[in-house]
Amino acid sequence: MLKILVCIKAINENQGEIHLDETRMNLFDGFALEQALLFRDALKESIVDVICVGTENASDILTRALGMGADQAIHINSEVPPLYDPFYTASLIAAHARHKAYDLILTGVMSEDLMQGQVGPMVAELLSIPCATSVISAHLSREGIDLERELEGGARESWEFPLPCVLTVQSGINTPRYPSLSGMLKAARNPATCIQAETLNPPAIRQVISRMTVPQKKRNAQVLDGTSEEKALKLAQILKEKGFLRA
Amino acid sequence: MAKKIYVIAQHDGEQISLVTHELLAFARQVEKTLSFSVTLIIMGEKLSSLARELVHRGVSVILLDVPGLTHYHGGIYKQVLSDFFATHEPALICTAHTAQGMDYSPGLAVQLKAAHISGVQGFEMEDGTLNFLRAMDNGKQMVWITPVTDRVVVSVRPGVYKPLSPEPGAMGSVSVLHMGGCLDPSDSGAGDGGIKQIKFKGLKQSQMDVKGLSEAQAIIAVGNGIGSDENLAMIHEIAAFFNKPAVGGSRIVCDRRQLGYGQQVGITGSIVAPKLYMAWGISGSAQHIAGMEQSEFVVSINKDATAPMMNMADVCIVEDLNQFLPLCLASLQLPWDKETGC
Repeated sequence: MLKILVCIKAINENQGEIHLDETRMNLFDGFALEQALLFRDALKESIVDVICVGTENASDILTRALGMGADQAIHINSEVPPLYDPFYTASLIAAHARHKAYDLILTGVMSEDLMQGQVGPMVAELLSIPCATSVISAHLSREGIDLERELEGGARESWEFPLPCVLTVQSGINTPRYPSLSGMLKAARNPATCIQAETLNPPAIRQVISRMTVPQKKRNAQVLDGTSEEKALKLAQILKEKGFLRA
Repeated sequence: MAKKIYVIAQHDGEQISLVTHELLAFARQVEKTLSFSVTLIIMGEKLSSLARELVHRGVSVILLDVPGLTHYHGGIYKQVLSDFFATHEPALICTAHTAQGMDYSPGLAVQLKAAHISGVQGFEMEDGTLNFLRAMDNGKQMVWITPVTDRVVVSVRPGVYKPLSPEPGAMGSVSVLHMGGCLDPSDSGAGDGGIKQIKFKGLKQSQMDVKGLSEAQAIIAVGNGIGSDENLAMIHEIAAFFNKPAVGGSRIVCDRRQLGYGQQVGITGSIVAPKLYMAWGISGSAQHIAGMEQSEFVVSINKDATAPMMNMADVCIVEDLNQFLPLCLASLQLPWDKETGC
């Protein structure tokens, strides 16, 4: 049996200019959770815990994770998360995981909003265990895990990793399941355990946001107008004039 | 001990990766601001000829000779580099924001008690501290980050800085440090955070013809908005009208198996610079834009006028793909003389 921890993140659902309070599970973390559940399906009596560092909003995605089949959910409640310091997040996860003897810690290759890809490798380092990033295939072996890392252009490296280790999972490795009704009912009976961040001895912040800006337009765009037909004709004309079309 | 800027080279044992020269260009610009000198570190086994190539960029090169390190190995990279930096004080360490750099760089920062900022695409000096620029919210916002530590590791996004070219007459130096054979991955033993039990088993190139993308003059690319396979079939029909075309896409389309991973454009896919990049239903995440922003001419077709890809485009068309694809195909099929009237 394996004891697995999956680190998931809540992404704020912003639609254009409208900022909603609703959150959803980071897409890449969904693949990590599915991979953990597949390992549990293969090795009976394995345990899958999920952990999320975040504000109260995080409870929705933890409920979803329980609905998908996770055994236990841990919410590290950090009311004012230092948005841009992955070391802070990683330290809280490592502090929780340190004496829990997890065989495997999985998370997404990056978050959709910040795209830093740092928390997984940092958790591994804090726990002094190996880490493979961008994992696109993973199978349990007698020695540990046989895995493939995805490189640029679709190339893949094959590796053999020992347990315990941390894997950060690429999208496309599997097809994440939907929460089941029985899972959601179970989640309602067995909600996430909440731990206050302050009790985990959080580290000093290593980096802060000094300011935000809007990306500048890189080119002088010509916005085509008119009916759809007119736009299509205009586009064909531009492509022809620029010499892009086959003679 | 003088503080320095260190650049960690990316290579495959036979060639220095292009991104290494981009890192050098970034580091040289920081050097002008900070007046700390730049040192390039290259590590592996039997790399003295590769190291000598780099001196023509006018930088001092330190070759960390690691017996047995014939292929990238994250555990060994972190161990050797943290041993090296125990006696060489870095102000700034620059790594590549690539599959390789993203693998070892954050862990190295933890070992060095450094801040780590990933996907950096700019810097500025403000009140005596360096701030670094990166994208967030799928490229819809940019943030300046200020490290509050003495040491900083940054992974620099590929494709942002123009590669540093060899300078005529410039001569750097190469010094070699032997980092010992204790890390030989074939020598299995306990300890070292499991490093010795991590075994590299081989490299598999992509099944798809990645060269097709890099050599194409027109890339017809599709994103989340492409929808059905019927639409994708029309994209292939449209592509056939162009000179040296290739069909590419964003990661989500590859995840859906509508395209192969070898056709993915972006940091984790291919970085391309065709004459024409046509983005069909691609919102334009930072990781995708990094893969295509050097294209000469960009057309963006999307029903969302606020998609970041629209900021990258020379021609913007706000349309629903389901309706616009057949119209575009029909227009391309028209004889040229009939079009001139519109």
